[in-house]
Amino acid sequence: MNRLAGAAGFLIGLLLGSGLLLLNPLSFFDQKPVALSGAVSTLGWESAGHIGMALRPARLLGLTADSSAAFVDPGIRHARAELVVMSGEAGSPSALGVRFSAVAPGNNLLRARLGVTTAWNIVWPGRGSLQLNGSENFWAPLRDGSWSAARGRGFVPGASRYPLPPVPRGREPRLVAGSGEFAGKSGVFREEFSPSPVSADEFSGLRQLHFSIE
Amino acid sequence: MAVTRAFYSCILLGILAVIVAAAFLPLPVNTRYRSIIGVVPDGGREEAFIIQWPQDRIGPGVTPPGLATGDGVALMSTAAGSASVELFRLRDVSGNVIGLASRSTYRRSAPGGGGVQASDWMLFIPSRGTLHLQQENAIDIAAAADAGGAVTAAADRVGFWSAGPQVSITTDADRGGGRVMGGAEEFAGFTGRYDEAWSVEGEPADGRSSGRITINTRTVLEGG
Repeated sequence: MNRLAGAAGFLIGLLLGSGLLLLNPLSFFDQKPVALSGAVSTLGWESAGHIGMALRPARLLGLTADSSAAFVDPGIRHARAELVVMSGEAGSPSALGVRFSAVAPGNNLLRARLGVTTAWNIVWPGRGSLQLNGSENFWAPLRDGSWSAARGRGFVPGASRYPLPPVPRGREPRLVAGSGEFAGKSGVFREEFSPSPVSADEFSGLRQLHFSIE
Repeated sequence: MAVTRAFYSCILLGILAVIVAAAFLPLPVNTRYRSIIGVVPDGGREEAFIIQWPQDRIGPGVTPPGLATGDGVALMSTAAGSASVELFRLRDVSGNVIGLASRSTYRRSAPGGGGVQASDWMLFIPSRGTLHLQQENAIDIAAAADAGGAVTAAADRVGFWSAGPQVSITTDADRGGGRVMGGAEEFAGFTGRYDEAWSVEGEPADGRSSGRITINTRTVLEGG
C-alpha cells in the first residue's frame, strides 16, 4: 500500500514539478518583447525550408537526433540557415532575407530560457539593405505547447501569434547596419511567430518581422 | 498515517526530481575553437576568415518561390533590380569550420549619385557572435542566371579569371573599401576595416572552379 501511494505521489510530483517549471514566474516578469516606437514596418515570411538544426522543442532541448538537414561540423551543429523571400505591406516591394540562428548561450530551464541567437541580412534590390542582430526566447510557445500535449492534444501552442522576447541577458534585437537608403539608420526589431497548422511543433512557422528605424 | 506520509513525501520527491533534471539536463552548447587573433602594432586586432569553394557552399535547400537558385547561390530579380545571396561555411585559418557566412550582392545608390554594386557579409559564429561587414565591389561579382534559369556564382563564370588567379573584391579604402559595421556578443562594439580576396586553384574548367575566399579583418573596440 505504501509503495502504491509512493508511486502515485511521485507521479503527481513529476506533473506538479513540470507545471511549476513551465509556469516559472521569471517567464512572466523577465521576458518582455521589444517595444517598437515611431513608424513600424512589417515584413512577413514563411520558412520554405532550412539548412541545419530544426527549430523544434525536442531539438532545442537536445532530446532528439539531428535531422538529415543538420550540419555535421561540430562548430555549426546547433546552427541553422534560412533563405526567405519577405513580403512587405500591400504594394511594397519584396525583400530577400538571410537568417542565421543558433542555440543561445546561457539557455537554462530553471531560468525559463530556451532560445536562439539570430542574425539577419535583408536586401531590397535597388534600394539597400539592413543587417540585424538579436535573440528570441521560445518559452511561451513551449509552455503552451507542453500544456496542450499534457492534455493529449499534441504539441500545439494555443495562441495565434507569439511576439518573441529576447533571451534574458542575451542579444537585444537591434539594427546593426544599413546601406543605400537605410545607411546611417538605427533601430530595433521584433519577430512574431504564428504556429503553422501543418507543423505546429516547429517554431519557424509563419513569421513576421516588425522593425522601427530612425 | 504511514501511507499519507509516503504519498506526500513522494510528491515532494517528484517535484525535486523535475528541478534536478531541469538543472542538469545537458542542453546543446555550441562548440568553440580557439580564436586565432593577431595584434596590430598601432592598436586593434586582426583576424582572418577562410571560405573554400565549392566545398563550403551550402544550400540554399528548398527554393523559396520568387527565387532562382544554383549551388549555394540564389538570385532575386525585381523591377527595381536584382540581388544575389551566397551561403557558406566559415573557417578559421586552421581550417576548422567555426560558423556560417552569407554574402548578399546588390546595386544601391552611391553617395555621389548613380549606382554602385555592393555586398554585405554576415559572419555568424555560434560560439562567439556575429560580425557585420559592408563593401563596395571593385569588380562585378553578382551571380547571374542563364536562359534556363540556372544561377551561377561569379567565380564559376566563364572568363572571370582571365586577369589572373587572384582578385581583390573590395575597393580601395579611399573608395569606401570594406567596413566592419558592428557585431554582437564577443564582437559587440567592433568597428574597422577588412579586405576580401579570392584565389582560384588550377585551371577553371567547364564553368566550375575551386579556390578560396579570404576575409581579413582589422578591428578595434569602439570607444575602447
